[in-house]
Amino acid sequence: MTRGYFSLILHAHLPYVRHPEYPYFLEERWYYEAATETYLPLLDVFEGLVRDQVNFRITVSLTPPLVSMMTDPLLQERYFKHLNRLVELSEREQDRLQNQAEFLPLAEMYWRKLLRARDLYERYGGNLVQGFKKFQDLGHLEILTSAATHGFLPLMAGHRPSINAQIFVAAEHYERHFGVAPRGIWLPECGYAPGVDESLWEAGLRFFVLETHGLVHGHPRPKYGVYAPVYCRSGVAAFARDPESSKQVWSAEEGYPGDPDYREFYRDVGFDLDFNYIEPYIHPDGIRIQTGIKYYRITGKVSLADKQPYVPSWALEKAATHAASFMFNRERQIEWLSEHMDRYPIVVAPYDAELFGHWWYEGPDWINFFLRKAASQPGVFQLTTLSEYLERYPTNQVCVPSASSWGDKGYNDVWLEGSNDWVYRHLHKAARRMQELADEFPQPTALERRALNQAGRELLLAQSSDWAFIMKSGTMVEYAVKRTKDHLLRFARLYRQLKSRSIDDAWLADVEWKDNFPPHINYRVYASDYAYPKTAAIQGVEGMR
Amino acid sequence: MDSEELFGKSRSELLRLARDLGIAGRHAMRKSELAEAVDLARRQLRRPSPDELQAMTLTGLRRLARVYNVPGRRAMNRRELASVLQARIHRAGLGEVAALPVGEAGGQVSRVEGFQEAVEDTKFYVGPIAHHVKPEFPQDLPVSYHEDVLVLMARNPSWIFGYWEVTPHALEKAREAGFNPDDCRRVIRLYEVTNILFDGTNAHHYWDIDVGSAQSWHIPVWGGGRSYVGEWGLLSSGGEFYPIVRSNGVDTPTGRISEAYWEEWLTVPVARQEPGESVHAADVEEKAAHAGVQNSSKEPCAPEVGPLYQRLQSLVSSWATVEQQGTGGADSAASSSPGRWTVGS
Repeated sequence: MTRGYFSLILHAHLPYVRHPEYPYFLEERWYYEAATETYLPLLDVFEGLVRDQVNFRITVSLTPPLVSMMTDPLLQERYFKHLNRLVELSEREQDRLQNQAEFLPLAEMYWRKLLRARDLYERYGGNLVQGFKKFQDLGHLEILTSAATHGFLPLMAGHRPSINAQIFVAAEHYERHFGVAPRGIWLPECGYAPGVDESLWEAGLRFFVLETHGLVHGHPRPKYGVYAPVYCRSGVAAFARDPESSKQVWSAEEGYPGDPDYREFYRDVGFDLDFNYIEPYIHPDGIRIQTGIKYYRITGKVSLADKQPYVPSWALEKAATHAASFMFNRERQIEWLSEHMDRYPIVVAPYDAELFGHWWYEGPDWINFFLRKAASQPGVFQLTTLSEYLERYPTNQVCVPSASSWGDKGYNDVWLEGSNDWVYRHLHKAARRMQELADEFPQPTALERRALNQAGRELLLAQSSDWAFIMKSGTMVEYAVKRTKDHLLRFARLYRQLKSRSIDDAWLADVEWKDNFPPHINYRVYASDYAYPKTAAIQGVEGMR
Repeated sequence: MDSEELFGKSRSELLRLARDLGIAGRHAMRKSELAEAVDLARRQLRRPSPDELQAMTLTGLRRLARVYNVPGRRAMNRRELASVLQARIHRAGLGEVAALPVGEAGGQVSRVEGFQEAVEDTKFYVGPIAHHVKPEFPQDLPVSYHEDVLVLMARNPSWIFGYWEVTPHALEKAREAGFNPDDCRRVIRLYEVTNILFDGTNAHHYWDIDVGSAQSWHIPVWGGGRSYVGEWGLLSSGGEFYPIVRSNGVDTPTGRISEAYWEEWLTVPVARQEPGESVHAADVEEKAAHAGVQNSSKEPCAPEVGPLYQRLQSLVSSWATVEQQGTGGADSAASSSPGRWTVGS
């Protein structure tokens, strides 16, 4: 008998990285790796579930930059080449390991999986969005949008046009790609501050997800804690993350991904093998980088050199056990919750999508096992989406959620600290200037319109939360600084050219070619008197080129 | 004080830095290890406050200047060293200066993290490499926008961050008004204005933070759930304050469970829209008809923290416990918490 609902949410995001001006660009690999290790394996899992007629429900948020990278012809072509090189490497690895019984089956495993990924990629015509859309149209998957460039909204200093632009551009981008208006949004980093929901309502978005204390510290205290949504004063529903299910996966001590039988992320043939052999598969400048082919398991708390060979059958067995454990715990949890609530509780479990596959190699298998169990044994709980839950329970308590995020320490600390606090002075200034431009040019010429739209793109790209995150985490900092400065300086130049009515057409064309995201932005979104078009149809877009 | 610069230093130079930083076992280290240790120690260095800097001896300041690699330090006097160091230390991340007062109401939420940030980080990880990219523009971002501005942002319940710019013109006007910038303390006066319409005089209370020549600052504040407004200005030796620019208002999150327990309910009808169907206009009207009226009732739920919250608290143990009237509070929550299950238990 059903006692409650469970919603699994995967938040997929990467910043927009596309450099047509270079034949090879290292940071583009972020996307290639996620595509090979996370997005394609997840789609493969969904394909299998549909083939076996499993009636599953899952939610994935795809951010606008990710969707645009998935649909971009240049990146599609570059990714296909990348994938082919990996297939070639896995073939050569089988030759190299001919006489090593421990490793040969692993090389074969990668080869098989890569061929499968390539197969699927070709079936979607090289467009992963088609894959995700297919499962949404079938009713198994609910796709959420996110802010236009994953800007961290609480640190926009309450500048309404900045927040509106991040939301409105995203909602419209979604509609173009998925043919329907988005119903829910994943706030970047779960970053919420009271008032953000008003922009959501205006764009027709009905719900979003908070970190646990966003509701637990809400005012007044929500009757059901995090196990039912509340409505903000604007009318937008706020769900919150269940700490129990997140702890089971994330905890450093008890979390599943740290199991000794699972594959070790940091030991990679890109660093292990002879330079001349591996050279064609690493950075063209001869810098060793990860290839994605990794032959060792986590083993335990030992140095990378002492890791033991990976045994796929053990790992798969462990993924099944962990899925069963997760299922069992959710059943007990939901039984208990239903005894203390006068309606069916919902347990909301959001994770970073790139956890599954990229880092936790067996993550997609775990999802596969869990969804099959949960969908095929209708017992204590049912899988659901947040939309479905709201359809069932359209009446909810009204509450003002607390400002919060899912970053370390739960607030804005990750994106506002010594390494990255310098960006806000410039971002805020650019945002105010953008509003000024939008107000000053209600009737631009064709050239001015292009410059205005490009200024909006540069501002949005500079606002991506990833740059501040990377500056703090210390991985690839130079690139994050470069991107922040490049976009801000391009913006400043456009601002000056517009103000002095002297637009450099050739330079503008070059910048449009380099920073072609978001493609359909309408700079008017920054105007003080802008209102989101009240029809969901796209015809209201003035900025189409 | 780039890490890169460190790795170009000789072993003896690094050894001296390591000594200044009190790094144990430095003599046994190889050059690269030394550079790494120095780099790490610098990052973790407890950074002295402006007051402490002012109070330091010349030798102490020189030592610190060496650690921070202040150019031209040998030629500087005590006062110069202190001000250069203050700017440098501040830029390096003053936010990490003082440890948060632990256990105060509104303390930070300890989340059930562990792997989460590491995993997010690996999205951008391509290997332990040194990779250099050049920005497209030769110039840097402007150091000034030629405006008087002060912006405050909340970082968490206990910290806010502010950045500002004060133009020479504004300082000149202050001088004309009898506040010589060279003789005055440069301070941020922070007003606590929770639940009031601030008119410049009616704050609950205020305090001054010496900010010297810095252009941004991380400021610890008391507890959460409060509102602040700041003013950057000059404080004369006679205690008179000349404000130059006022900030936006900033609200800190409460960091605790609300004691308000009344209920208000709202119905927002959901219609599943078909592809291409318009949804926004209709929604707004329906919502307006329902908002706050239909199905809305204010009825009290239990004043005590119920079992749902006890369980949530037991999971995230460092949540500040709300002080409850007439209930057992945190103790009863702990003893009745159901704990977690594992397979087979």
